[in-house]
Amino acid sequence: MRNFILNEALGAYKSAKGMAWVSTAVSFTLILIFGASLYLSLTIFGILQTERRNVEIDVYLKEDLPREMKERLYSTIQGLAGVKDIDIVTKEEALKIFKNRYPEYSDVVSVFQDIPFPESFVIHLKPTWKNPELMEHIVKEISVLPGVDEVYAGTGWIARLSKISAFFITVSIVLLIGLFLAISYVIYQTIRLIINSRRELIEILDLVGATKSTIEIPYLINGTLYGFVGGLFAAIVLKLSLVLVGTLLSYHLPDHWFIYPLLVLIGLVIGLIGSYLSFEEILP
Amino acid sequence: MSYIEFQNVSRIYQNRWYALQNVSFSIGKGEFVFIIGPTGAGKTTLLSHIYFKEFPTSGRVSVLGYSSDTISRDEIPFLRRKIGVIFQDFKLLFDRNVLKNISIALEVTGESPRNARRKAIEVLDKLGMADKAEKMPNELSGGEGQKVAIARALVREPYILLADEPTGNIDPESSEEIFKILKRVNDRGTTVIVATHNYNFLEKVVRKRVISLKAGKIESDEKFYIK
Ligand SMILES: Nc1ncnc2c1ncn2[C@@H]1O[C@H](COP(=O)(O)OP(=O)(O)O)[C@@H](O)[C@H]1O
Ligand SMILES: [Mg+2]
Repeated sequence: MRNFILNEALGAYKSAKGMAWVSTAVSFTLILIFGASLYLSLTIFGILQTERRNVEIDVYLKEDLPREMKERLYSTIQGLAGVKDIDIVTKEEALKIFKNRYPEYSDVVSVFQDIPFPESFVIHLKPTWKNPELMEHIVKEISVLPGVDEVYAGTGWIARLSKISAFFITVSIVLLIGLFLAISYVIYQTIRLIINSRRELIEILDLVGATKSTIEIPYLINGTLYGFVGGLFAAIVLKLSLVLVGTLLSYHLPDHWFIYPLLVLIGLVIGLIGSYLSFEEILP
Repeated sequence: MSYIEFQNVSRIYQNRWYALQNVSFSIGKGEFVFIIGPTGAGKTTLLSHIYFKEFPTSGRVSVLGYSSDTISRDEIPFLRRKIGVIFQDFKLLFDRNVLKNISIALEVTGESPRNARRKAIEVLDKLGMADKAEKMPNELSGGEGQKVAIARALVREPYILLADEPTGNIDPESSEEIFKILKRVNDRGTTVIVATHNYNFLEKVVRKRVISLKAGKIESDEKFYIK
């Protein structure tokens, strides 16, 4: 029986040459597109996560604030929801940081009598508050406090990155649904053709007492194979492309290893579903 | 003990006409039964109920302990393994040779390919067809084709052999041979049921039962048994 099933599965694969190729090629192309989109979403999402971790709010103070006002401001901010802790950056420290970051301009600064940098608070947020909406809210609260000159938070580009990431995640999900439908439809049609071309065989098998599963498994194997092979090639091509692009840009691209088995698995499952649907419809 | 029992069986196709109407009979082990009647009388429909390809619209069919009222989808293959069926058009698979056409009946039910092959050769040999084992079906004459179909039906040593117009497509000489084979099968204890509208063949079997159908009804049911 095992022999029969394997022979029949292979025989059907061979006899369906054209359609087998189409099925495999469609699975390959769509799964590859999905894989690329998933890769982009994950990569952008990854960058976003790292950046969010580093996000902080800079609060620049007005010149010559009396000491007690600074202290009041400090404790007011400390009391705001979402604030984890606050670093105080004095004028001297600000100068040091500036000179470190832009050594070529350190001479320019020394022409000033006074240190031209305002004193500031660097506010670290609690992890759950590191998203653009909440940060915007905190920024607004702080900027109206007395003694605050200017508040700066890197929310703008984070918001943009968030949107891009959300966009790619949406695209990936839509693609996943689309490719599920498209691939299972193509495989379903292919298996339908195969089954139709094997009506005599199926009739005989039915007549001599083969069970439903013995009759069906060869076609199930076939359809699954189309999706599986498509998924496998998509995984391989995606990996090779990333290596190639990485080499060309001489930049180490982040990798997400689970994508590859996922693509193969998706191909396999879609193939299984497509072929299952076709004989559920055709066979008596 | 009866192998086959029809109790008030009616079958209506597409709610139009009775293909079988209130048919009752019982067939025992070792009988040779002719189902006769003109084309459209319901012979094929009757045989189809025996291997549960068709189910009665009303009434009950019981075969080898299975009943049309209670048999499940999953049980039907197991009943079919006890029944051989041959047709007017042989229904051979043209993409494989004679031997494979026969052994497939065993292979798909779990027999090892080696055993299946051995048993197929044995059956072919008994039918005088051993030399045709490697031939493809399109290289066979009509009579030979039907013998391969018989071999496929017999390879599982069925309790019942059903033949639907078995000689409808073959020359008289080969037909004679087919009937000799069917008689021999029957002599070894297998119940044989032949549906035909060609009454010329009735005389080829002496010890027989003839059920005559007309428009889905049993017109007569006679036993010609010589002690
Ligand atoms: N699958 C079917 N669908 C509709 N009508 C059918 C079907 N099979 C047979 N019939 C009708 O049932 C009647 C009996 O047919 P059948 O059993 O094939 O007769 P026979 O074998 O004696 O020639 C005929 O009128 C035929 O047209
Ligand atoms: Mg008929």
